[in-house]
Amino acid sequence: MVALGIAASIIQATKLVKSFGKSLAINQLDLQVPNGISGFVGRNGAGKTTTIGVLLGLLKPGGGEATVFGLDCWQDSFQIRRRLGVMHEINAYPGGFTAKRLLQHVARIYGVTQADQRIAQLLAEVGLADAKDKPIKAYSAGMTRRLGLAQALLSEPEFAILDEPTANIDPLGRIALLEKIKEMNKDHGTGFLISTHILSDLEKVCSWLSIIDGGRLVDQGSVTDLAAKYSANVYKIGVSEPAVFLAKLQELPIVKKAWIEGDNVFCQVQDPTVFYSEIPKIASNLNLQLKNFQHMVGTLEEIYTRTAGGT
Amino acid sequence: MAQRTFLSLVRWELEEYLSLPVLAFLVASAIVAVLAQSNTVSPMPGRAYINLYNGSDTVMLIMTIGAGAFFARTYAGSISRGETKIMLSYPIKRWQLFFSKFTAMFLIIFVIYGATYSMHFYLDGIALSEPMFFVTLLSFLLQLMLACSFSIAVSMVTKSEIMSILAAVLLLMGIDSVVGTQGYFSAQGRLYYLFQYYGELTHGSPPLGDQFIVTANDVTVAVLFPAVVTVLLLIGSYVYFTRYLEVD
Repeated sequence: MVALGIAASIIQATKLVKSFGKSLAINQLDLQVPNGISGFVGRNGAGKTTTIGVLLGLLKPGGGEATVFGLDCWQDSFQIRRRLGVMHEINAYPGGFTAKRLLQHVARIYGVTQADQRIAQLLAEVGLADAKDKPIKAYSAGMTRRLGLAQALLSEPEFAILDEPTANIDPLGRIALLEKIKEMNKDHGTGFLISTHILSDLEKVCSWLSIIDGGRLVDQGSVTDLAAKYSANVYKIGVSEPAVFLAKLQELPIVKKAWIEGDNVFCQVQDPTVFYSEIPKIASNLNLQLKNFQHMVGTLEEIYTRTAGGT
Repeated sequence: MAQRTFLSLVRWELEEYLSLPVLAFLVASAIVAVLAQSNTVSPMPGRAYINLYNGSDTVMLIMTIGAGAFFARTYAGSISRGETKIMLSYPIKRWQLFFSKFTAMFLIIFVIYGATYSMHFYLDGIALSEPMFFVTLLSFLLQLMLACSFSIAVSMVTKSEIMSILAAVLLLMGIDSVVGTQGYFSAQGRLYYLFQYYGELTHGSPPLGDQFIVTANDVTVAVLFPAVVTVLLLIGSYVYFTRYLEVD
C-alpha cells in the first residue's frame, strides 16, 4: 500500500469507524487522497457514501480520525465546506426552481462574484444552457446530474467530491463531463474525489485509486502502481474445459493463485518462463483445446476484480 | 457574512415554498376555515364575540393541522428527501439552516392564517382596531408556536414526514380533547381565558358571559404554558439539529 506524506494528502482518514446501530458501515478505514483526480470505488454498501458523509461533517465518526485540508471533519466542517464542491448521489434540488435560480442561490451562499456570468458559462459547459429557465422538476435524471455538477463547481472549489457523477448521463454527456473534470484539474488545479461504479470513466481521468469493501480499505495507490501490482504475472487462459484445466493448474508449484471467471481460467504465477512452457503441455495431456492465452495488462476493472471483486 | 447567508437562506426557503403547491394548500385551508365558520354564526345582535369565539375553534384546528403538516415537511421531509444533506454540504452553519426554515415557514403560515383570522373578525362585524383582535391574535400566535415546535421536535425524533404530521397533530388535538375547551392547556381554553379577561378589562364585562370569573393568574398560566413548552421544544430541537443530527 502506498503511503502519502501528510502534507500531500487532501483527505486523510485514520482508523475511521462509523456505525448505525449494530451495523458497522466503516470499519477502521485508513484513507489517503492526494490532490489530483482520485477514484473511490467499492461495491454497493461498501461504505463509500458513508465515508463521504463523514468527510463533509454530515455524519459523526464513531472512532478514529478524518481530516480534509488538515481540518477535522466534524469540528471544522464549515471551514472545510467553504473550500469544497460537492455533488451528492441524490438529486434533491428544489423542483420549483429553475437551474439558473438554484445556481444564483448557491452563488450567494458561496459569495461568488460576477455570479450571472459564471452561471451562464457553467450551464453552457454542462449542456444545460437551453434548459436554464425550465423548472428542475421537468429535468431528466441526466440533466439533474449535470446540474449537480454545475452547483458543485460553481464556486471554483479547491477540491470537489463527486458521488456517482456520470450516473444516468448519456455517453456523449459522460465524455464531456470527464473532459470538464480534466480541464478544471489542469487549468485551475481543482482536485477531485470521484466515487463511482463506472470504472471505465475513472480510467480516463484518475491518477489515484482507493478501493474499499465492507467499510475497510482494500488497497490504495497510484493507478500505475496498482496496475503493476495486481496485473503482475496474471494470465487469462481460454480453454475447452476450464474446471478440469484449473484442477491441474493448481498442482503446479509456480502457480500462486488460480480461479475461474466466466469461461476463462485466471492465474497468478511466480515464474512466467516456466509457466509459458507448462500451459501447452497441460492442455495437450488433458486433451483440451487451448482457445486463447493473454497476459493481463492492468485496467481498473482488473485491479478492482483482484481486490474488492471477491476473487 | 453570517447574516447575509441567513437572509439568503430565508429567501431560498420562501421561494421554494412559494414555487410549490404549499401556498395553494395553505390558502385553500384558510378559505375552508373561514367558510366552516358559517355554521356557528348566529345573526342575533350582540352575539359578535360569541360568534368569533365559536368560529375560532375551526380556524385553530385547521391552522394546527396545517402548521403541523408544513413544519413536518420543512424539517423531517427535507431530511428524508435529502434536501438537508445537500444544503448542509454548502458552507452553511446548522443554526442558519434551522432558523431560516423556521422563519420562512412561520412567516408564510402566520401571514396566511393571520389574514384568515382577520377575515374572521371582519365577517363577525368586529373592527380590526378592536383590542380584542390583538388579544385573539396572541392566542392564535401561541397555538401556532406550539404546533410548529411540536412538529419540529417530532421531526427531529422520527425524521419521517408522515410520522411527524400525525404525531404533532394527534398530540395537540389529544391535549385539547383531554383538557377540554375550558382547560388551561387547550387552544380553545387559552382563547377563552384571554377573551374573558381582556374583554372585561376593555369592555367592562366578560364577552362570553360571567359564569366563570377569570383572574390574571389564570391568564398567566394559560399564556405561559404554551410559551414555555414552545421554548423548551425549540431549544431541544435546535440543540439536536445543530449538534447531534446526522444526515445520511
